[in-house]
Amino acid sequence: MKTPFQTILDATKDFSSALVGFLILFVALSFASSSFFSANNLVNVARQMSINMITAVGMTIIIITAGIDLSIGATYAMSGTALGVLFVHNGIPFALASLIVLALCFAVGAIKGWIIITQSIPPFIVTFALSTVILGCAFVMTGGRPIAVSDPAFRFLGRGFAFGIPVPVLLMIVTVMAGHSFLARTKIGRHVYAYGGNAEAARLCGIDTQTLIVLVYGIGSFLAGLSGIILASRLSSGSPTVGTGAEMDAIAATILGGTKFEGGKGSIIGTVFGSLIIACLSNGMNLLNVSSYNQMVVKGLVILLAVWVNRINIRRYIVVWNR
Amino acid sequence: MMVNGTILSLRNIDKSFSGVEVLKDVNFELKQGEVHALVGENGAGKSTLIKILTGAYRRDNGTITYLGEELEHINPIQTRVAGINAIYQELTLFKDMPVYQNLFLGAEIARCFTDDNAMIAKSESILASLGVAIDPRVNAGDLNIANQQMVEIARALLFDTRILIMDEPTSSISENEARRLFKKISTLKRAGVSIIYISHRLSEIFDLCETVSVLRDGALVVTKPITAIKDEDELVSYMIGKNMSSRFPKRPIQPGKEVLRVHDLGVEGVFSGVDFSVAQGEILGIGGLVGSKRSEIVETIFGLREHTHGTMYLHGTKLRKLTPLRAIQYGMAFVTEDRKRTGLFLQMKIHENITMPFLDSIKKLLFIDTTKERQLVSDCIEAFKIKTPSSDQVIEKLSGGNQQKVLIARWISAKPVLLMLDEPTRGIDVQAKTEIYALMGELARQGIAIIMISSELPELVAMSDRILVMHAGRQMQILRGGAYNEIDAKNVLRLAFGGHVE
Repeated sequence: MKTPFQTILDATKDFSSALVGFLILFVALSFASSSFFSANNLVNVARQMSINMITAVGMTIIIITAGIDLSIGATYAMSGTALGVLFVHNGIPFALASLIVLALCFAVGAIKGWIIITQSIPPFIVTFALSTVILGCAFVMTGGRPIAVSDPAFRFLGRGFAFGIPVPVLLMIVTVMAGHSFLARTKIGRHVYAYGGNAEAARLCGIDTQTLIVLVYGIGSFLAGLSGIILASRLSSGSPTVGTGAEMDAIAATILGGTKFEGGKGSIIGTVFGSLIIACLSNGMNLLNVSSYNQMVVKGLVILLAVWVNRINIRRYIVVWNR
Repeated sequence: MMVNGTILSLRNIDKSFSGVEVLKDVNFELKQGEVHALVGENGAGKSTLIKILTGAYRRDNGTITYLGEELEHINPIQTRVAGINAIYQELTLFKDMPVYQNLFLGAEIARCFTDDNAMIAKSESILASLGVAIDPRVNAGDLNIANQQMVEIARALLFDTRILIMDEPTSSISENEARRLFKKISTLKRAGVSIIYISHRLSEIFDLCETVSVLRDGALVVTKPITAIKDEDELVSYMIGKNMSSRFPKRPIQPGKEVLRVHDLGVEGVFSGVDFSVAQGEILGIGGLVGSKRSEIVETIFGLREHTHGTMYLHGTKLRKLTPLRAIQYGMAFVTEDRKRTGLFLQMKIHENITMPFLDSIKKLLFIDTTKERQLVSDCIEAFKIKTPSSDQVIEKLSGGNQQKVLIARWISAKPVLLMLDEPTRGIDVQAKTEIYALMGELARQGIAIIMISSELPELVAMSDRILVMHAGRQMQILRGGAYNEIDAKNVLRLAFGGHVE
């Protein structure tokens, strides 16, 4: 029989270092700063991580197919500015404008996927090139200036509350649950792992790889678009410069969470812990008055360290130590 | 110094992995200039023993004496320099590098810049001595598996070798290439090189080796001169610890309705003129040399290649615009020859590997019905005798034979009407082979039409009801069994080499 402890170890083996890292960080920050461990601040952490986490769900799915999307930041910019244009310049109601923007983002992602799978161009190159195109479109739409919005209806997604919980956090929870169910329990989710593990074998199993990749990149951009809308709503402006570096945070959360860069392995739960680490780190360092320049250095080093520790396989040591 | 011509001796070798004993008190002696076969089922400990010898693993106990000197701590680089070279079953070539760069990797001929011409010339001569026509300037990845294997062998011969370890060198090359390899082995032997030869093809061992050692469950059960062993069955009985009455279970055949008819099938520049049919309960063998475009035929039937000539009918329906997805929907199943590259999802679990092509049938609304999936898979594990602690085991950790059984289990569970098997028993142990033969017989009895490609003549001859032989992209003839009695190894070979059979 398995002891409960072993069951936990088995269930967490693919992201054990993210889990352990998060726990250590969490305890350390609670001691280092008196204000870290308070309900108010923890809600803050959740809100701060929500935008990155929603994007990272899409990124995790993409990276499991052994792909990557470097145009996430540009997608933030596009969705924010497009929303501003529709809402402010054309007077379309917020809900409808959001849906149009999300559909647009999905379509852009589907195009990325279509180029990648039908033309066999590496995802790195396709999304790298398209990020410039997409960002350029965002600048063209607004003439390079942010679109300021004063209407309070615009702010609900970014700043509102529902059931006493910040709306972005609620959206994050729904996205995480949907993403996890998709990967772990649906047929298409299985196909995602299969394609990332062995694309040729996947094709031979009758998997429609073309539709699969189009869908995967569509979902990725859709979620990035959602993040972009929340961000615009939070800032009350559709700005073409907000998304810089967003893809890097999403990739970092995914990799920290134990998803293999080579594809075929990974999980949303792991990414949740990866995203938590990033959020706690920023929040904690802010509380400790670490300058933002120093924060960059620390964040980068933590990512490197985490991936390094991942290789050592913490679980083995825990098992040995437990014996 | 050598004692009585003994170049290498391993004494009382023990090795365990996390508490599991994989080698128990193994004694092994190798004489200079002998070809010494090391046989045993998968998991018997052959690979572990080899890795201990090359220094890839540390032994727990025991001594290794090489050229009269005891080796304490060794690593793979030291052993290579000292003249112990191993050719592993898994290919280790760099696919995007030319062949000659692969051969000289780590030992480049260079002063300031690499001297490519010298390396190419030396590569050409060593490949020629192996009797293969490979241009050393082409990328290794562009060669077929057989030629990649020859490059691997050439790489080991590049250095001054005293002991050459060959792990299943013929598992992916044709009989013809194997013969050339055997000739090369004899030459090496005469030059005083000792060879440890691991193979699942028992007939080779009788042709090639002087001595044979059998490993079973980590213990060395017997070392004998090959002349003291009566036949293959005796050898097999050492390996599995009991006598095996029949390796190829005979079965009565009553072919039923025609399942697949292929008429004048061809793919421009690949193969042409393929014309056959296969019926329910029938096993159609496809023979021929490696490179005679046998796999390409089934790949075309499965929709992986587009045909440019001819027609295909399944149950009388003409097949158009085939893709693997549609082929599966038509009821075809295809077990490819390279299970790691095109078959398995190595990082995924057994149950995920099995149910991949037919997840639709075990879906409940949006989600996969895991209860149903587990039931189906545990039935498979039992029916196919897959050795595993649980269906959650990651497939990478299974032995080759069990991996192959998982693959076959996958396609059988998809309930096909036509099952295509490409080299179904490559690189797996005798026990698993026998089980797979029994399985094929059973499936045929259930009325599945089977097409089997095989390079192993004994299995092709014993299992097939008819054999289609290919030569250089052309269909030669279809040999018939039963009353016609045309099926034997000689006829297959004659056709494979482009000859005729009356």
